[in-house]
Amino acid sequence: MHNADFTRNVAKALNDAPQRAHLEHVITNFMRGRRGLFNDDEELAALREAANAVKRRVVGRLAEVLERLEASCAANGIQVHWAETGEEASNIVLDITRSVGGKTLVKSKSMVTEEIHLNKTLEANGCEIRETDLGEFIIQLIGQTPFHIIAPALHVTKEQVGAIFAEKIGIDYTEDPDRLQAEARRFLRERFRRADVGVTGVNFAVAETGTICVVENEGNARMCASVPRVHVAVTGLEKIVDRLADLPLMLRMLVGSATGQRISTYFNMVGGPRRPGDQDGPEQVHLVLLDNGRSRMAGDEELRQSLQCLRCGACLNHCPVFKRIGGHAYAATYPGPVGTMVMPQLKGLDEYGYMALASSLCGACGEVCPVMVPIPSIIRRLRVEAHDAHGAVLDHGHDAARMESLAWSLWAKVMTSPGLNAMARKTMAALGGALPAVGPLGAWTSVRVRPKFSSKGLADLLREEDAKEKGSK
Amino acid sequence: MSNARENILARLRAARAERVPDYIPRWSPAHPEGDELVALAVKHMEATRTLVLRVAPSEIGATVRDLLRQRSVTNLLRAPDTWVGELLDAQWPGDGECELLTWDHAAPDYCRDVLFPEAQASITTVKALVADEGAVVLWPTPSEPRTMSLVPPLHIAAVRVGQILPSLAEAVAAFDWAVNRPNNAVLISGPSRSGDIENTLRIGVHGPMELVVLLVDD
Amino acid sequence: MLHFPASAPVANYFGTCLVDMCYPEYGMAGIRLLRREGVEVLCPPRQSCCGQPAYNSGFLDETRTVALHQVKVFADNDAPIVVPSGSCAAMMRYHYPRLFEGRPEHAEVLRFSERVFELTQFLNNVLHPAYKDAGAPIKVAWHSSCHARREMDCIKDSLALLAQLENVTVLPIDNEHECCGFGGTFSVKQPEISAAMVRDKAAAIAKTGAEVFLVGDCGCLMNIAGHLEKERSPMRGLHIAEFLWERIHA
Repeated sequence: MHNADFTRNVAKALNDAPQRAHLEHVITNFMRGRRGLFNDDEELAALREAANAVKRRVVGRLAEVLERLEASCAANGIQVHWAETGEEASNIVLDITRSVGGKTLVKSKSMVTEEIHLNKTLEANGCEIRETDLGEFIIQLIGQTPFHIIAPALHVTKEQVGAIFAEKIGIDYTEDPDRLQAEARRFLRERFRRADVGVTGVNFAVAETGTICVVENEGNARMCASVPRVHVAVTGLEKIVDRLADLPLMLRMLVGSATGQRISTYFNMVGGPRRPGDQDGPEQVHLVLLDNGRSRMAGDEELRQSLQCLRCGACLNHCPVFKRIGGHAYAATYPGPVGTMVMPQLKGLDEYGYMALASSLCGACGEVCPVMVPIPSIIRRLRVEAHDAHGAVLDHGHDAARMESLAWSLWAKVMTSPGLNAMARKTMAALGGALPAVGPLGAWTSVRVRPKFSSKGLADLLREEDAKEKGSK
Repeated sequence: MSNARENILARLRAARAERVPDYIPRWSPAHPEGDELVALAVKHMEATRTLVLRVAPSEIGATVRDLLRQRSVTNLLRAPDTWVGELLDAQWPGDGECELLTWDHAAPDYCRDVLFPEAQASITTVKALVADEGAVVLWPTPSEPRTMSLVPPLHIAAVRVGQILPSLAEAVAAFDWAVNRPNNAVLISGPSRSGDIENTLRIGVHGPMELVVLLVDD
Repeated sequence: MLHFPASAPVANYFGTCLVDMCYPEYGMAGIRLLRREGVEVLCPPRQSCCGQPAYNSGFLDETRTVALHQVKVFADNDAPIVVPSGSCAAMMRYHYPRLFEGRPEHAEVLRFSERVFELTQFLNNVLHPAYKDAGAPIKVAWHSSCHARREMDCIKDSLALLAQLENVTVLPIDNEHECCGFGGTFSVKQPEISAAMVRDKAAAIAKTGAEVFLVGDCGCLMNIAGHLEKERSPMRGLHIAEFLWERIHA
């Protein structure tokens, strides 16, 4: 997408007053929740330092951590698959499904399966894959993508839910949320019971023990991982912790940053398929490790920090840009600051370069990140990559803004030459009001008065004041 | 595609960081003992809309019967070979008002055929209750399988007071968890919940609509 | 943790390009506040811009050229460098060293950066001024600039100085933590989003019922006050240095 399309999306989102009011209400609650839990600044700083160390240890030595994870999983009877691209990962899930003669899948909320467009691949190959997280279920019925990484149906009203349920699952129209929820429960219970394969994401995979951990509140992820005969967990290859002992801290940081809960309703730790004598649980457990650009990110010391991300969504909730435009305007799997940071890295600057401009670099995202990812610095770095011919990001150096390069080199000349600098000010002071309001000035003056340039600079005023002082002495 | 593993690992080996930080040996949540520990556990579990009832072992039967009666529940799945199953069986009145169900290990698919359509409530033991998180820890077993605490609309977790630990971190150490790897473990802090319709919290989506913790004196 | 000098007989002043271009009188107010505490203020005329506009646009070579120019301009002494802007101060203190990492100039830049302080931070922690409020009772709203808050961490100092003025009531504004939408070139590269942000910020400020709003950064000031003026709002904005100086000389 190009910046012009983004601008159109932005205009549409900004004009949607009800959505903006609702979004503000929701993220304000998320922020309040987080603050309520992490209410001691010193304590929070220490927790973030510790969580940062856990993740930096992992993303700095991913090869050995992944090999250890693979070995631990194998010892537990979990089959590990490696995928270089989203397409490969989706095909692995398809092949597993076919290998057991399956056709129906149930899936719990997972951003990585959005990233690889898993549903599209499976549906194109004759499978039925049902989203089971209530929010995901709703947007799957409507045919949309998640609005927020932890609140996918944030933008949908109860009336819209009622209408889509009436249309797609055949209930009488109601806008009573309790009844709607009960209908979803009834409808999906049958799907859990009959599905061939359950798909989940992964919040933490533990290298030491080969444990797949999933955080959730609804119980659908436990259903997906416990009821069908096959459980497939799909994860970005960075979502690993070294040790089981790392989990308590990381769990608190993830859940607390996301919703302000001390712990999610469920924290499910899958350590393998059913054993002899077990009465339930999947007969097969698979773990799909997805690269899809992550190994490239790991190669650069600064960009590597993007892989520390826990996908908690706190950066979205605190972002003044996300607050104004919401999740869909970005037209990207991951919206908000985390998306701004990772989309151009995963998919390239040609396609997602516009996202790097959608930040005022105010620093709110970096301030709340539970693992201290310096999101603003990485966004700034992407702006460098946009025109850097030797860059580390896909499609670097392709920025068409040659005019901007020229403008900055001219700026550097002016700013290193006091004579030019003062002349520029005087010229602007003389001409300021007469300049046509186009380009940047047009953008500025759409909601602000023109900057008023001063005919005298600071040095002029200082000289005058000192002369006056001397004169009076 | 078979080369994916080698290709990815080769790139990651080349990408290894020159330095990685040491672990920061930090995070020891509160470590209360005795009554304070119990109070903290109760406070955190109640905050997530869990009903916590403190009972003597001799009161378990009557307490559970009252709970079920108030909710018009007419059956309860329990494992007869657990401590709480034994107490319940001994204390359960034979009036037929509420049937005690037993997971039939010989049935071809008890989970799909009976648990889903019929079970209204279950009672399970727990591995521990972690106070800082405010969650019960379950390590499912053949007699108390994974779905027993998930599918029935009412889940009662029987916790002996001595099973309360200060935190998950201490549970990981106490059970030598990294060595004794269960093939499934789950922490449960309350009833199933969702905020997905207009972002208002509602209880009871896919899992139990209600979680009751029976805190049983040792 | 910042290391503050115990005293400062001499201080350099980096006025910032925006002050020089549009708000020189606010820059002068800062100089007067320093002189009031007996500091000899050096204000080298060759100084220009901290480089942040190019830096945040991703043009690092141009940024380095301009940054190094400032480093050289202030190289003739070791005295602190005081900046009436949290954002520019943060650029020079925290981002310059990163810009020159692994380059021959790094040590020189680091020595420069360690001398940089924001104006109210320097006043409050080094000079400890005592202000006697000479003005009539007034209600003001305070806007924290993002980088003053999150990078220079000097909001507490600005507020501490205002707290000395006994006739001044500082009113809280809604979503005080939130960016005003300036963001340098962001305001012209994403004008619609920036406009939505400044509208909300201006409305939050107007809602306080204050007579005037104060800032420590002229970027935010130009943005918010520029919007209020366009909307014909009677609310005016002032740099904290100008306000402090006016209050103690009313």
